[in-house]
Amino acid sequence: MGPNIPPLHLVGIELIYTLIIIIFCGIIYFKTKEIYDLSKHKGIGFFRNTFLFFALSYLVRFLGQLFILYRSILHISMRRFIIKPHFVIFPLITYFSYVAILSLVFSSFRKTKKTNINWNLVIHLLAIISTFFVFLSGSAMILIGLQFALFIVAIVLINIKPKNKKNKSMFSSLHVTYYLLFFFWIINLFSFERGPTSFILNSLLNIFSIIIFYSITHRVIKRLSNVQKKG
Amino acid sequence: MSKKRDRLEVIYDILIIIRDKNNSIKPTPLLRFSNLSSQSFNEYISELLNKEFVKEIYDKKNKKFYSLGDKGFKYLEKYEIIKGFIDDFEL
Repeated sequence: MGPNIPPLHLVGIELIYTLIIIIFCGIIYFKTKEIYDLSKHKGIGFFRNTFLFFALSYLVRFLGQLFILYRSILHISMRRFIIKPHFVIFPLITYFSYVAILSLVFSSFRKTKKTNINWNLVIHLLAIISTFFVFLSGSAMILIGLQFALFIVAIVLINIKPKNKKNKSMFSSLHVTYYLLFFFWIINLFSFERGPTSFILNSLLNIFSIIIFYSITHRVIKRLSNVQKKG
Repeated sequence: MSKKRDRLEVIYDILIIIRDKNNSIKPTPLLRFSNLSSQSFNEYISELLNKEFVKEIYDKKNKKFYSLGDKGFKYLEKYEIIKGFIDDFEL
C-alpha cells in the first residue's frame, strides 16, 4: 500500500504527528515552569529537560524525513552537498535524544546517591561522546545501536531506587510509560532509517507514540490541577 | 524519631513560621522555631532573601524583622502541588 500513497500525504501525516508530539512536550515543559521556578528542584528540572529535548529530537527527525522525501521526489543528487546531510541529522538526533532519555533517567536516579556530581554535565558529556561516534560513522544503525544500549541502561538505572520508595515494582504504571516512550522512540528511528514504506505501520507507530505522550501530558495536567483544587 | 526534612520542607517550615507570626518575626525566634543549626539557618535565609521569598524590614528602633515577599506567599500556595508532583513522578 505504501508505494501507492503520494509522498506528500506521508509528509503531511508526519508533520501532523510531529506537531502533536511537540505540542504535548511544550505543554509539559510550560506547565511545569512555575513549580520549577519556585522550587528549583533538580528532579523537576531534569523532567522538563526531557520533554524539551524530545521535542527537538522529533523536530530534527521530521526535518530529516522531509529532506529524504524531497530528495527522492526532485531527484537531487547527494553529490551536490559539501557535507552529507545525514552527517548533520543523525548526530543532532543522537545529541537531543540522548539528553532527553538521560534526563528522564537521572531525574530519579540522582536520588540514590547523595553526591556533588553535576549530573547535568554528565548527561551532556555522554550525549556529546555518543554524538561524536555517530558523526564519525554517519550511520543510522550506529545511532540505533547506541540508543538501544541506552534503553537497556535506562531500564537498569530507573530500577535502582531508594529503599524507602513506596513503589518498588519494576512495572509501576509510570515506569511502563517510560519504557514504552524509549521503546517507541527507537522504533521511530528504525522507521526513519527505512523511510516511510508502509502507511499502516507508520500510522500505527505514530498513534502509539501519541498515546504515550498524551498519557504523560494528561498525568502532568491532572496532578497540577488536582492539588490546585485541594489548595 | 522523625525523618530528616528535605530542602523544600525546610523552606516551607520557615515561610509558615513567618506567616503565622503575623508576617513579621525577629531572626532569633525564627531560628529557634525553625529547628535548624545557625549555619543552616543562615544559608537558608540567605537563599530566601536572594530569591525574594523573604524580605528584611526594620522598625523605628532599627530592629530587624523577616517578612514574606510575594514569591514566599506563592511558594506556600503551590507547596502541595510541588510535593505532589515530585512524589507522583518519583523525582
